[in-house]
Amino acid sequence: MGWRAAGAILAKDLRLELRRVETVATMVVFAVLVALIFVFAGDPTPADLRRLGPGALWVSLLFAGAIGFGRWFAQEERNQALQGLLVSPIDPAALFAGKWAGATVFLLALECVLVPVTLTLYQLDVRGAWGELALLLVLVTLGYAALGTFFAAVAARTTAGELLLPILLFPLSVPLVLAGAEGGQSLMEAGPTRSYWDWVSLAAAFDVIFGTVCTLAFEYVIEE
Amino acid sequence: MTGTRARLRVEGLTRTYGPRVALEDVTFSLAAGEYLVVLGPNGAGKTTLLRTLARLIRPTAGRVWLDEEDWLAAPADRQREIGVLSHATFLYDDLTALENLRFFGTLYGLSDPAGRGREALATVGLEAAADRRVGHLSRGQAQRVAIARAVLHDPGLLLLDEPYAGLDPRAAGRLSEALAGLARAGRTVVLTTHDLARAPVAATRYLILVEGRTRSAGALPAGDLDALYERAVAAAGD
Amino acid sequence: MRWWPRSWRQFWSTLDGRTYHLMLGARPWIGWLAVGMMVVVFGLVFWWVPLEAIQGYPQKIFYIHVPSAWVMYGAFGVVFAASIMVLWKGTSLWDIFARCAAEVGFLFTTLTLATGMLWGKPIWGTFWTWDARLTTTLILWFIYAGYLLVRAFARPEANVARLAAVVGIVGFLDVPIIHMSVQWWRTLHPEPVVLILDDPGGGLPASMLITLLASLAAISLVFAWLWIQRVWQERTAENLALLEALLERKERSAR
Repeated sequence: MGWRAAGAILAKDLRLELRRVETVATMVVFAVLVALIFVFAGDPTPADLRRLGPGALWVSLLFAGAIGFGRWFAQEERNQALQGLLVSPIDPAALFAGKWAGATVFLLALECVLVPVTLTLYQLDVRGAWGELALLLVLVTLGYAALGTFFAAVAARTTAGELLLPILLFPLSVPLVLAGAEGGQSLMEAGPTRSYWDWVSLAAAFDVIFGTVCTLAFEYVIEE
Repeated sequence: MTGTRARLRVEGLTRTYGPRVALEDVTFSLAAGEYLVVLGPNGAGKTTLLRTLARLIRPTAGRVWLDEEDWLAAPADRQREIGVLSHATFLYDDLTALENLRFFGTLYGLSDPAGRGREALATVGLEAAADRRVGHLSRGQAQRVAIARAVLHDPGLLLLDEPYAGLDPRAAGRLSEALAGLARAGRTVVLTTHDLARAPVAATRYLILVEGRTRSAGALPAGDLDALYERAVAAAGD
Repeated sequence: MRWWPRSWRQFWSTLDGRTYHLMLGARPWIGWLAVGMMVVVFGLVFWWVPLEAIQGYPQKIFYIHVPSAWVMYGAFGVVFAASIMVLWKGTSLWDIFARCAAEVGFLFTTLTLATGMLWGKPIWGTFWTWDARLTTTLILWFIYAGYLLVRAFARPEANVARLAAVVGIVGFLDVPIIHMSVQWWRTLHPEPVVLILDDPGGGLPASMLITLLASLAAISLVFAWLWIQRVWQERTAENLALLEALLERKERSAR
């Protein structure tokens, strides 16, 4: 029952997003622009570009994600749709799982555009390690989506939500950013070495821990 | 579950926010099929009462029994026993009426969400609007889709919180008809309103709340409800 | 108050009351003890412990910086434990313990950052360096700030205690992961400058270790003193508000 409900929430969010592609489109444009601006701001040499590239990718993703999380919760605020969900038999954990899945899908969709763009702009060479790059991307995205969904709900319970979401989210996401940037860089310099796998393990452990904790703790965030 | 009429018993329901008392020691009983209207000025605690019954808020003290089951301790799954309507519609503006109902139908575990959705829309006279986005409907129409949502899963207890808010007289009239129809079907209903004129004709019991406390309660039709109400509000104001 | 509880259940249910009772008992003298210890440590640092060869006088900030960092982590641990109890037992005392520990912990985090920066300036000529501890401390500073801001800006209808509790719990669980990942990051890209010497050569000489531990004791006492004071203030304010509300309701129903 919980899975069906979570699936229904995911389907509903996907349908809503397809109706007004607004949020994902905004995120894509914003993320690409951030990646661009970095280059203009730094005037890097080709060697600099290759060093900064992985980092720039994650920074763009982080900022775009922060914008997205806030909006995905805002749509539940209109007509107090969230209340409608809360009076239904859905388990808060299933509600979180559905929203988490939706956030992950949207971020992955964003990455489908952002990654090729960044690879090109920063002249990065994946050396055929596409599978490993994808693995890293998926793991980091999962973790970030979990934290983002969770703290978007926390911030929605405050009167300074837009200020609080980044303050809460970014510091706690540091391990993910490091995993993504360092893992990505190590992958591009030397392929899937021990260092890369260490960072992948960190991201995976992070996902397991915080996926579980956020799912279980979600009921305390939405209750009154 | 069809045609279930829930019995509701509320005892000593209290909700405080720190030193502020929103609800104080509210007690009443409803037999199956009764229709209670909760009256009171703004800030009296009517919405708090309803939200506590809907289990959106946890009370500071007090107990509630729904069909002899300890309602406040019941698992989340039991929410299918109640239907809630507020002045907000709980609907997604960018989905069609039918899509909204199908979504909620799935959440409530219905086996044929689309079919039940169409039936519910027919009940409120909006089959034609099934494929129109809720955001494109008028407020009155959206509120009727919200009723469809509230009764989609055939709950035994209906909780209605100021459903007339923001409706023009014609829309309010249509809403009254729809609600009267639901009441005739025999469900147990609790409706809150601050507007005495909107106290539904079909109501069988009344309860007047002022500043969180019950000032007056009894069966309807009562003699002069207006006077009772004025007296209750005046008494509390001293 | 009975010391030994009758059962585990009673132990956990009365833990907040018994802890508060202990705190009240300690309140009159713990401040003096803390100040006294600080004086002793001051003496040790400036008159007893030998001058460190490479860094000279600035190194002495180490005796404040390192214990302050440990207390910062310890305070967060208190926030974590109290937050779990808020979710489990739900009494307002546990919430008071949590938020006061967070306030004082935030203070010590700021102190750790400040002493770290003051230490850095004479040694490396710069106020900031991205070394592992300073970076982690800065991140922790933001996590603390986030917790306090959530409390400050929570909507009135939100259950502030439980909301803050989950933020505290999630935050605390992330701290070791942040610490670890920042350290990995630093080993991959080592700083060109030699980092803060808190373990020079083959370990600390005995006199430095003793001074460090004494300082740790003193600073922990300062934390305890401040925490107890804040908890007492909050609890008293809460009791006062409840009494006022009770009085007002009695007046209204008497009319």
